[in-house]
Amino acid sequence: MNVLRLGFILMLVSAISAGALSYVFFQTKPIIEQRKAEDTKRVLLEVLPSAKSFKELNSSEFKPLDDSVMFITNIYLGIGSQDNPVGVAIKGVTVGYGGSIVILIGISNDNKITGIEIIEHKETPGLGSKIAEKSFTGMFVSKTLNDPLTIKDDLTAIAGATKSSQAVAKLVKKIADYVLKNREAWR
Amino acid sequence: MKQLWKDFVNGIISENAVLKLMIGLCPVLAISTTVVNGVGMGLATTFVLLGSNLTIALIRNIVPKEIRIPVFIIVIATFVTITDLSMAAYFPALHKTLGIFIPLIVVNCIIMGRAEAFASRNTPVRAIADGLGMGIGFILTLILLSGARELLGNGTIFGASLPFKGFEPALIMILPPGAFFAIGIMIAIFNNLFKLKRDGGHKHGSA
Repeated sequence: MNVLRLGFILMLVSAISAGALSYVFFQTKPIIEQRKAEDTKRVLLEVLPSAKSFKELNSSEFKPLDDSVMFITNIYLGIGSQDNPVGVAIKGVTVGYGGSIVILIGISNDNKITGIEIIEHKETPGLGSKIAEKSFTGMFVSKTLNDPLTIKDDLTAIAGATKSSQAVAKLVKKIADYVLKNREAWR
Repeated sequence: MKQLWKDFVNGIISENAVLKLMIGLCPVLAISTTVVNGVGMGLATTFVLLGSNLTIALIRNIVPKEIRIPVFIIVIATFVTITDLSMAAYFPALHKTLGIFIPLIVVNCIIMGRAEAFASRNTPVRAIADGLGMGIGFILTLILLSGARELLGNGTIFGASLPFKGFEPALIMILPPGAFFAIGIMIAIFNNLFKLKRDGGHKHGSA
């Protein structure tokens, strides 16, 4: 009987906790989602400033990246003020030192990198986390897709975070090649 | 009133969780790379500590002894999830940098330790005083430790560069070994400043 009583009390505590959590969850959910949507729009503009609006491609509309650790998750076509295409923003995922790294790259119609943002990463705070800083991402800006885009060649790694830097550079390179090969398909 | 003050100060000095009891070291060592991270982690932990201490003190006479630990864990996990969601909604930047360490507050020994050792045996008011003291002691320790590490390892303080040039940061201080150097030195200094006059404790000289 005692087991039943204890189980019942535990169930009661869990139920109260679940109730409180669902309340907080539904209170914060719209705010978190809205922030995420705003964030997406803001970073899109940051990596492709010449665009006025963006049109997202369905995942069936583009070819996947042929790689085992790197993926392209979203492609946004940048549209200028006269409804003309100005470039493309590509969201890609790779594996860094501490977990997956999500980056967004803006590429203009003349095959120049217009901006890079690290959207998500789990790299070591204070070291690998520096991949998200302008001093690192800025290195890629205004390079063309035909540049070598490799660490030690035309890029420098962050001290103490070679793996994280390497991961980002490789993904950028991969996406650059991908865009060169496939961009006519969705232009 | 006097008792409350004693409970409060207890957590800051004589039973400072990190420097004296040496519990909760994992998050301390891991996130003390910048002051902003340190303060964010300190505040999040303090909020959870206050919430769990209060709740556990309130239900301490209802919860059967046999299942107190699972009940404590549910209470703590609930507050941690609330903190996690609220931070994601209202402080997204901080939430991003602290990342995985927020959910890991659940297994912070300080919170479970205070629940079991203090909140489950004392009145809600005393539990709050204890939670506040422990939390503030934790925040202060984190500020000192992360301040020293950020300054020495990154050459910045609160993310701002030093006003003068010529200081070359020693990167090792924000690497994991630096955390151990810094916490070791801090514990040594702290224990010298607040010597415990207990038998078998610290010996002062040969007298």
